[in-house]
Amino acid sequence: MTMTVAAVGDVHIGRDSAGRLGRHLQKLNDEADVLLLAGDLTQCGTAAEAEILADELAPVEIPVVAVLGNHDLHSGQEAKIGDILEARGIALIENTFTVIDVDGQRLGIAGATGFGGGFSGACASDFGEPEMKAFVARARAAAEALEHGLSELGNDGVDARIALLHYSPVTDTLQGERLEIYPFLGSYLLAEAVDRAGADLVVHGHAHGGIERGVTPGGVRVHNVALPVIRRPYRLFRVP
Amino acid sequence: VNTPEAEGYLSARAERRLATDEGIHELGVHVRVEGGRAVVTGSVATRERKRTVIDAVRDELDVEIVDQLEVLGYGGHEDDDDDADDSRDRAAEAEQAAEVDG
Repeated sequence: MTMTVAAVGDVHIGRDSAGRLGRHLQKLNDEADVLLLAGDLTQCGTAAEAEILADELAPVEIPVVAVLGNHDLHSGQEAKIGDILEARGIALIENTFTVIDVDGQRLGIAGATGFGGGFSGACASDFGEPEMKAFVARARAAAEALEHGLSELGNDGVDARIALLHYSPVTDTLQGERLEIYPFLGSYLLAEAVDRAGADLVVHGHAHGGIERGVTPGGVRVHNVALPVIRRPYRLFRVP
Repeated sequence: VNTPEAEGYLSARAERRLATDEGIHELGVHVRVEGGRAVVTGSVATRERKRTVIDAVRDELDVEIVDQLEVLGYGGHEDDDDDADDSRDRAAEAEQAAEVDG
């Protein structure tokens, strides 16, 4: 039996968003078993915006699982954002994982914001200036956490595994973006982690000018669910 | 100085402002300055943000603006508050129902 997952990224909730998102989520409870939010939940990364998001999601009765995006980190209020969302029952899985029971089936979700760094043939190296090393280290830490989470879920025998990211693991879903900014849109390390540990589906956001569908080198399907890409309130997927 | 290089600097300056200005933080908007005009492309979530972006580009560059910026709304299209939005919602939902992946 399959489970139905709804996913969207880059809702960029701001002070002008109140009352505008929730009205598009009214049928979600009947359509999906879980809602995934692929980062950039807020525009400026403030606690006030997180409160608005939580209000907009109030009608959603199915489990909601989220990762943060770069916008959510901008104001240094990510801990407050996490507290606000957690208090409203929204699970934030930053470099960790969770299991959701769906009518007796177990859906495993490993989450990470991820980071940039680029892709095979044009990626940053752990070399030279401390700033460059720190840049690469952030992407590597996210990939390691993702691989650990997916591996643990695999060992746990869940019925399906999803990698929930903000940054992209592949270039497939970046088609349409300017080639010059690919290194700021994702990292191949994330795809490598997915292929090592295994997953049924990867969803990510961040690349507003990209396209929906891609696949990792190991054959795992990847979907860019950034709102400007899917052009609808959410996308539905069936897993496994 | 109206050279391609100078226009590139202007584009970068405008995009930097859109990314970093308090209350804007739009990284998905592209500003291309050519021939003394600034072409603004990409998408934002609301009409308010579109106004803010266009005003900021005008203030930063003081050139003619070609506004091609799209307002996406949260249903994935413009006119987020219009009655017409509901019919587009239904159409999008019907399309989505036919497109569930898996």
